[in-house]
Amino acid sequence: MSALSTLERRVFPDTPPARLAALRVLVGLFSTIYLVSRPTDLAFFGQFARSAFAPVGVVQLLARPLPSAACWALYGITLAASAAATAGYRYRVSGPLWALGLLWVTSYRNSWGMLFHTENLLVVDALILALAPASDAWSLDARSRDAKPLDPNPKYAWPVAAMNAALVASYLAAAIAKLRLVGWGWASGDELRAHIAFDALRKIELGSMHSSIGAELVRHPWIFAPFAWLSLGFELAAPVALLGGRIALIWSLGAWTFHLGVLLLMAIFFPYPLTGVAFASLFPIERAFSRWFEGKQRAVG
Amino acid sequence: MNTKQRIQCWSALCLSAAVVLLPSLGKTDSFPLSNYPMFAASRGRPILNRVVAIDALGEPTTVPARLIGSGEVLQAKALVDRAAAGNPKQQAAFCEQVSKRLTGDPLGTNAVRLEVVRVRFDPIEYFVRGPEPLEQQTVFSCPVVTTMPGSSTAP
Repeated sequence: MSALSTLERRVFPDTPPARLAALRVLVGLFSTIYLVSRPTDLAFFGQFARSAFAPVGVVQLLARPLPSAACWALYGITLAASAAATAGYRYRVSGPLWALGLLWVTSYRNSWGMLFHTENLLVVDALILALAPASDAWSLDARSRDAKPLDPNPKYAWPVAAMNAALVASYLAAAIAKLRLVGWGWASGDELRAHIAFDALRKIELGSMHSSIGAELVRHPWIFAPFAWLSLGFELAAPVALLGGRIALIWSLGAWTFHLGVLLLMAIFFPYPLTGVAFASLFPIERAFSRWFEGKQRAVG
Repeated sequence: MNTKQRIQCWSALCLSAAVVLLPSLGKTDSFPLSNYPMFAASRGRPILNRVVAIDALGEPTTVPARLIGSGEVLQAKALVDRAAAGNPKQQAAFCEQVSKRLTGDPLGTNAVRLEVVRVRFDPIEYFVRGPEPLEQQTVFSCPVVTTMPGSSTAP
């Protein structure tokens, strides 16, 4: 077996339809909960002056803000599509509607002078899943077709590979930004310390919740060099996660710990990676869920 | 996996990675494709615009982000920055909106004036030595007009 074949077997393992379905359910569920929990952040912009409108991404199609009713309507459609796509109901319509709606609603939220960087990967994953045959299993569509269990097929492998690539590329991009803007000197920890200090200062002065742990640690400069090396190391090493298995597990735990560190030191919550959903595509996630889902299907059927 | 399927998988992987990585080579941040500048760009000694409520004794209290117009601190910051850079009409509108939110809030009970103050700090020194600003300047100020139930007062 050639080295390329060995690599391909690790990067593109046999993928059953249930894996893609499990990812659809996980990402869709996350999206639905996210939308339900933040209606005012995602649909109400009345507190902003029209002059504060600074469209980004697809919202650059607009010259001026939408009327409030249109924001609420788009939010409602996206929420309904998200729930339908999660359940795999008329996925050919609900999947793209969900992904495009999520892209619009989150882009619109980011179009008021501040880019948040917390939903980027969620939106990319939703767009990939919307293009994929993610409702061939564990879906209302599959039930209504009375579909028989399907075998692993490469048509289920490419969307998982695309999600994995987007995941590792987002961490690699963060490392490239550090090296491009500051250089290897970023690993000294001075920049990281300054960022944590700045973040806490800004939150205190703007009357918001800050991390007292981060503020305390700023007084101990020696601690930031190891943090910086570890952060940069895990970001640069992200592509090894594509090999799957134990390597992917170790890298995912490292990346997850990085986000936990950001939460503890800066009080910034990145829900998509911290709930583990961002890393799910690296693993045979369907095995963890299959008993539960199949048990439910038997009970209903 | 046949050749067509291999090409399909490699194409999906490379295309997805390229789309996400490409913005990191540019200078402009966007959404959902970003150059992820948040922990990279050097901060230096930044200037902040903050909103303070002044009571009758002249004591300042920082107005929290939720009363500025957004629970999200960075969006609140954008609102204050825009008001600080705006014309007197925009600044008066900002004052009016914050005043309205102060109504019913404990902070609004004693506040007689709002000030938007431009301050420069050294972030490290702020925590090591103390929160003394390197420089400070009032950008604009305005009276707080709170509406109490059954009355209308303007200090």
